[in-house]
Amino acid sequence: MNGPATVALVEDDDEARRRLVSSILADPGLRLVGEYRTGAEALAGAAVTVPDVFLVDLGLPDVPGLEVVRTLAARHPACEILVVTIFGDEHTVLAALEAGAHGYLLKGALEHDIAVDIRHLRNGGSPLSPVIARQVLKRFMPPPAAESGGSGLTPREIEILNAIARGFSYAEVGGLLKISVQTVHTHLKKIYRKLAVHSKTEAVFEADKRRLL
Amino acid sequence: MRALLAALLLALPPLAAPAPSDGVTALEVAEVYVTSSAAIPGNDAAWAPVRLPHAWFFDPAMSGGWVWYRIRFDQAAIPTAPQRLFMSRSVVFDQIVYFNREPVWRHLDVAAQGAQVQPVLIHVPMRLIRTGENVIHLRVRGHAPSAHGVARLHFGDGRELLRRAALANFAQSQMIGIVAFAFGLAGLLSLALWMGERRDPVFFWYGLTGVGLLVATAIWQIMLLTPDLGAWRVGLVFYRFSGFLTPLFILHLRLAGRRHPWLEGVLWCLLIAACASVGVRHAWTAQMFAFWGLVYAVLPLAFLGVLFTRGVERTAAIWLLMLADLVASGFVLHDWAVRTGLLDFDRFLLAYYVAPFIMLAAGATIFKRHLEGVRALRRSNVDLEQHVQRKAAEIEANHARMHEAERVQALAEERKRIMADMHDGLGSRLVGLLSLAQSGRADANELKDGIAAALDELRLAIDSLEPVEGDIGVVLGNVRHRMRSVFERAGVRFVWNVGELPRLDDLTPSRIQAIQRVLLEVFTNAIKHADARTVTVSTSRSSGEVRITIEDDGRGFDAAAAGGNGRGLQNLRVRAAQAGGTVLVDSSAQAGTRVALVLPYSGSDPPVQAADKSRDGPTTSVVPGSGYLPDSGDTPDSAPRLA
Repeated sequence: MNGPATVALVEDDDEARRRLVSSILADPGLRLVGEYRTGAEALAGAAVTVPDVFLVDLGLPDVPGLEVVRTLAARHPACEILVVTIFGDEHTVLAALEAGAHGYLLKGALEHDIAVDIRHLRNGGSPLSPVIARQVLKRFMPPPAAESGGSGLTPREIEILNAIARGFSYAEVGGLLKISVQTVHTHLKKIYRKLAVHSKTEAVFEADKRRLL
Repeated sequence: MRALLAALLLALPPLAAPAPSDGVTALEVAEVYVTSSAAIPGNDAAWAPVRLPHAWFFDPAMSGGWVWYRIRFDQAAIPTAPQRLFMSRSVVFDQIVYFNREPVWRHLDVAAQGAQVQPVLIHVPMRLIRTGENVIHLRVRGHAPSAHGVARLHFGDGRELLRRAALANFAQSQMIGIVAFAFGLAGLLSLALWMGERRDPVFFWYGLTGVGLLVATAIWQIMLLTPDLGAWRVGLVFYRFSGFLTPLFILHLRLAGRRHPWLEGVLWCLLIAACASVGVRHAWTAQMFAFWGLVYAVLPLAFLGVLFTRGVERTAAIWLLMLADLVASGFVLHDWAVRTGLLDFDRFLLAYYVAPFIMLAAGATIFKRHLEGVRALRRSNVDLEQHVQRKAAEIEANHARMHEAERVQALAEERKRIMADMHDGLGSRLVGLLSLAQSGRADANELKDGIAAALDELRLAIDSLEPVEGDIGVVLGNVRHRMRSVFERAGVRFVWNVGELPRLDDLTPSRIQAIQRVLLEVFTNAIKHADARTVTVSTSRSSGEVRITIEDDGRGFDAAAAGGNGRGLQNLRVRAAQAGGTVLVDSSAQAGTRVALVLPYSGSDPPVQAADKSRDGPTTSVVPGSGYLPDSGDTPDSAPRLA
């Protein structure tokens, strides 16, 4: 990536927002282009300047965080979305990934870590926890019946998720599978996209089923 | 059933009296002369005019010697067709018929004890027939017990008389045999039904009656064919009746649902007496016969009286049977009337059909009973099925209730566990921190670290609740993931040799937490106390157990120097036990530390996926008396940060 990455964030808690802001400002590789307090503000602001990275807090007062994620992902596909969550639990993160997010940040992480994580994301994928990797695998099995365009996982992608589920780092995954770290990142990006599509497809499939019945 | 009865009644009259037709002359004018001479009496004998049919009943003049009949008739012209003589019923033994003084038919019997009554058809040779007056002489032995008299003679067209004879033979002989055979079979079938399933005694008695009928008819046929039965004759005749009538009476009683042991006993005695009388050659057989006949005539009336007066349940079956009994009695009366001459002597006798008639009526009843039995069985089957279905539904409902209760119980227990965990872990940490903050003696960093550690504990607790479905690799990976930044900041490198591991049974959240704590403790010690540069995590699997080995290249600890089981090692052992396994520690100064967590498993293997980097760890043993590290890293302020 040439030049510093542009970052916007929406967080209703003042203190938390201040910390995020100071973390981003402290990192030379990142440039803050917007800080918002509510979902509406965030969406409006994103329409004006599309940032490279958008941090979305899930506990927003006006619009549910997931809705913001969905809208942002739909309107600005180039923008990489990180949700900010307290626990990084499977339920929240998977929901966010399915809504179109690209990763997650843990609230309460050290300031230094926030910037690192954001840069990790820019370099191709925020690290997935093994539990979540496993759940992603589960989401794709059994393969849904009425699929078009092959939104199931490729064998390589399954291998990658399996290795992550067992705790290997991205570098180690690359070593295991004889591919570069960048390739691993790319695969993960694809996996996220498929996850979002998959959840949409599932919703459509369910609706179809209901209509048929 | 009623239709059948009506049809039978309607069919009777034509059978009884055949209508006169052309070509046949009924010879009714005759003369009778009783003598002891066996030769044809001359024309000067004391012929007394008589009309045929001539009933002998109660006529003492007809007893003893030979009874001669002379019939004179005119023949206008010599007929062209063959001519025959026909009597609808006649004594077939000891009889001679002369046509114009030439014998045309004779049937002689030496013993002549009683006689069989059958239709007689005589072929008259053409050469004997004269135009003008023709004379027929008929000789019958007097005092033949069953003769009762002489029927009309019919003379004329051979074919027509042949037809009448065939009909008479059929109605009075063959039909009886056929019907008896049919009901005999029905009786056998009934017996077979009864033997298959001893449910209803009525089937047995019906069977016995049918068999008795068959046997009686068989005996009758044999007696017809065997002229000289001698001493057997009497007994057989008695047996014929009682062998059939006794079971029939008892059948009536059973159908009415009654038991009369005394009456039945009497009947059985009669039957036995009848059997015993076989072989008795007695002089006064006629009186005996009359006695038996009377007994059997009276018994039906007594029986009917019993039926009527004792308040028997009047089902349709009973009514039918009693109607049949009445009709049968009518048959008997009819025959009596015929034999005594009240009714035309030429009529067919109906008494032979009493038995089949009653059998038919009883059979209908039996059949209905059988059907009812089958229907009742089917109904009870349906009831049983419904009952079973109801019970099955009840059981299912019970199961569902039980499952629900189990589920609720499991949830309650899990809730309790989580609450206890919160209380012991996070709760106590926060309380400690609060008091620390309240004391005013703690510095900001201490508090920060403490709170961060509490947050980490909470995150691990939530991790332990995530679904992993027995995949221990995920648990390992997750702890590494959480400690990622800690290791990065400490500059410690991970060598991750985690391979494909089998699924662990029953990997509950509490077990996962225990495993996490073991790992955390070992990692923490490696970083903080042992100053390791590299931590190697490898897994291996052997029969029935999974082994997680954590090795560091830092400062080991001297077993002896720690002095006894330190708190740290004890803690590890406790946690390992909570995780359902054991922990083995091996350490020596300057050679690093190796800790192995051994967990048992008995579940199935997961499908093979990516490269298996499992490494077999050498067996380690606990160094006796060795303490671990004095400071086990359990206190809040020394816990490292987790990602």
